[in-house]
Amino acid sequence: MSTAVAARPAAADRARSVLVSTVPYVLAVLAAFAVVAVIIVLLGHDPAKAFRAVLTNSFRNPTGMVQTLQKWVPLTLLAIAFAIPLAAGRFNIGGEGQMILGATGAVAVGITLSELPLVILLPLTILAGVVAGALWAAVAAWLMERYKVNEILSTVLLNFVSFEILDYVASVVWSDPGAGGAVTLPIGVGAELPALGRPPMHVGVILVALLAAVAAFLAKRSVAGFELSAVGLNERASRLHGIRTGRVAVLSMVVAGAVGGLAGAIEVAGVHQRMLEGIQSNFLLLGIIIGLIARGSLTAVPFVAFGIAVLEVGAGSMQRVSGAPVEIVLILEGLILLFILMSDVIMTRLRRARATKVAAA
Amino acid sequence: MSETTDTAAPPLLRMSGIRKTFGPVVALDGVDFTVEARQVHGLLGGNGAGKTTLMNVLYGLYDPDAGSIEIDGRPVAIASPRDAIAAGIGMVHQTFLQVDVFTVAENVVLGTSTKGVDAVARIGELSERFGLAVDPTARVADLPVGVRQRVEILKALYRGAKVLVLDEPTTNLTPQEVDDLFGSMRAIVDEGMSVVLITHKIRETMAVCDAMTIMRDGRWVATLDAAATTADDLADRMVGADSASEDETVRVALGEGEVGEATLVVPAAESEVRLTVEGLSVANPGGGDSPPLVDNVSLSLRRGEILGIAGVAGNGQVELAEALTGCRAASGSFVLDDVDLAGRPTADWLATGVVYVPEDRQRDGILPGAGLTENLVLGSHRRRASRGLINWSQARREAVQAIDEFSVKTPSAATPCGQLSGGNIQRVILARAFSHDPQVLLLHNPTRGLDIASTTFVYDRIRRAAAAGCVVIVISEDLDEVIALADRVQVVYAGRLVGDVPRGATDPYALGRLMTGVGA
Repeated sequence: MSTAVAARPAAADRARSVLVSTVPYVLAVLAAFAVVAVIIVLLGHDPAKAFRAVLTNSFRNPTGMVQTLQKWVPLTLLAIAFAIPLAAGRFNIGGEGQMILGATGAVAVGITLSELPLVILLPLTILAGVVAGALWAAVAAWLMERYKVNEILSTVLLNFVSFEILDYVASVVWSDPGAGGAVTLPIGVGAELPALGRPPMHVGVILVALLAAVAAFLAKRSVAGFELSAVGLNERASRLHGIRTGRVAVLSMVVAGAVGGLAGAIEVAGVHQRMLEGIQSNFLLLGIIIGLIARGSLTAVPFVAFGIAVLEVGAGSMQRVSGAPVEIVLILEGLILLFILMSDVIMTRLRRARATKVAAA
Repeated sequence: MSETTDTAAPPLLRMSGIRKTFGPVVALDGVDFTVEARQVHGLLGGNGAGKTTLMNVLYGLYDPDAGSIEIDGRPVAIASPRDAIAAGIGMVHQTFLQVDVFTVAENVVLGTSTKGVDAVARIGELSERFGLAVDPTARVADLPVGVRQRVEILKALYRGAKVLVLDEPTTNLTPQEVDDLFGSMRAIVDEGMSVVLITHKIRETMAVCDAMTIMRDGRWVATLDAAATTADDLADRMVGADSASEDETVRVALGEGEVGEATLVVPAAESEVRLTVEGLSVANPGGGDSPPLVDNVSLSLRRGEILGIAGVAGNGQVELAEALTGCRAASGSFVLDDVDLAGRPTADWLATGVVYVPEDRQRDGILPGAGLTENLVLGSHRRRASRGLINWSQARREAVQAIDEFSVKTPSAATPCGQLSGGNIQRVILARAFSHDPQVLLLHNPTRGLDIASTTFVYDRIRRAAAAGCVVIVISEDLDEVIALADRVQVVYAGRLVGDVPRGATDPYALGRLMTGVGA
């Protein structure tokens, strides 16, 4: 079998192609920083000072790192909740609704069963969040599969419903009369995620790190991961080759909802010990940005999420030090994504130009 | 063999030294092509020989890298189809560019000035003169393929074409319609125009052409007078190997000789029945009174039997193929070796060995963005898994073997499948099909668009599968292919199977009548 082709290109070639493919990413990030520097100058601030603050805040002391990692948790989870259905060609824009329902499920258990010991109550609290998020996403998935309702519309609209649910639960059902505004009572002590170290970091970080690793492994190696990407690559061919494409799509949405629900439960059990208005922050938007920058790769998502978490945590420090407003960071994140998308177009053009040059030579 | 160069008048069309590259691929390499006046000129070659590319250059769709075009001895610059039409060139593509909701007359005059012209009368006159029977007031959406083709020819004639290029015009026509088309081509030539017939079928060129030019791998091979050549000679020049025409699969691939004449190895006549299909129907999703897409199909097929299903495209072939392979919900029974698979999920059919090679390879056959290994695993991925994890290292090893066995040309097994050529994609699909250990193999238009080497490869594989006891069903719109391969030919018309003709008793014209629903 001397003529047999290689199963894969040689390791050196693969390493080179990985290196080459990182170039546009690096350039996109640099270009985004350059544009934002101009904006900061126009606003009358010092970009060098602003960037130093935003980039070093996470690494200067343990507090910054803990803040970053705890921010990384919901960012990673919402990015995964976006990326899994994306692999099957579906768009889950309902991450924040699923997260809010997850938080709702967590406080429901954490408040009503608050007397139970940790070994029972904590798993129940987390599980309630996961199930609630999954059920919330299942509504959109069912509408999509049964009635062909566009999942982008249904998930976005269900977000608005979830805001009202949060408001009702936090200001009517389990409202904390002592707190001003929509805030629930605290959950029982047994429902709180244990924290480690000093300053304390909740163990949800470790849980999510494990989960992200397992998800990335399954996406690459498992039957489910293969069917998921097969459906995303060519739904018709997948169906003709025995894959139940409707079931795969529905499951991808439900699993995504469970992951979003987990994010809500961890925010309740690890960070706030209660549910409050605005708990969803802008994690949905950032999760989508992370998922797209990672091009849907579950392997890349945790790393991209860490970078975004650094920027998010550094934003406040930047405003204090340089006076540049925190919104600058969101502009920066948006521009990074925009430039990465543009780099695709540019790379395709370059490749075509080179091909014609080779042919002409 | 006489070269047609020594004439007093300049030729109607002369293309010289045409070169065209697409990136690193040289599609045309200094091709010369000359058409005399009043001539039906065959442009012959396998798929990928460059025939259509050459004519697209003539029609201004491609800008050549080098070369010149002369009409009536005068050089012309053709940068767009508009220039080509102005220079007197008309082209009928394989896919028609028509506005479905317009009438024939509206489609014909579309884009021309209609001031002071009675278009309907002029079209009526053209259609009578050239034997292109068509009602100018009919809506084209209501017309069959053969008539829509006449509309395309009328479009070109209406615009004053002197050279009419027809790209594989007999695809999807019944033998009767082919005869009509050839008659019209003669009438057009008699009026002083010329016709270029792009085809890969030798029999067609022998039947209608005055001269033919053969191309291979983007190069000019020969220009011959019809009177001075033979089918075998043409086949040799097309394939480029001396012994090629000895191989009967090549003869079939080239559509050489009279149809019905080709004989392939006949398997043992009376083996036991393996597959019984009864009352297979697919309801029309429109519901109500609309006729079913597949209407009460029953089959009984023996071990090693090859059933050919002929028919004009759009008569329910795709739905029939999908219903017969468990890919589409259908009523009725499908009993293979005493097991009724009807109603079971597609994966069960596949696991039992009912394997489907679909017509639309890109859309239905592959995951274009995934590597060859992933594509070869598709469908057997559950079988390859233990505890939910796929054994990818073994899959990669098997992929390398399959690539070798099926001679797939690819840089590596990790190359995205969508980057391969059509012939290589079909080899990947076949490699996957045979990895399922097929008991029933259904192929739809298995050689459409393939070059000669790939076509013969596919025929060889089909015959080997049958010899191994597999039940083979070939659904094809290429009547020659069906007649040559099948032990038994049926015709699909409006979702029903009509006629049942054993090998040796096939009369193409009788089949043609069935294909148009006349003999049913």
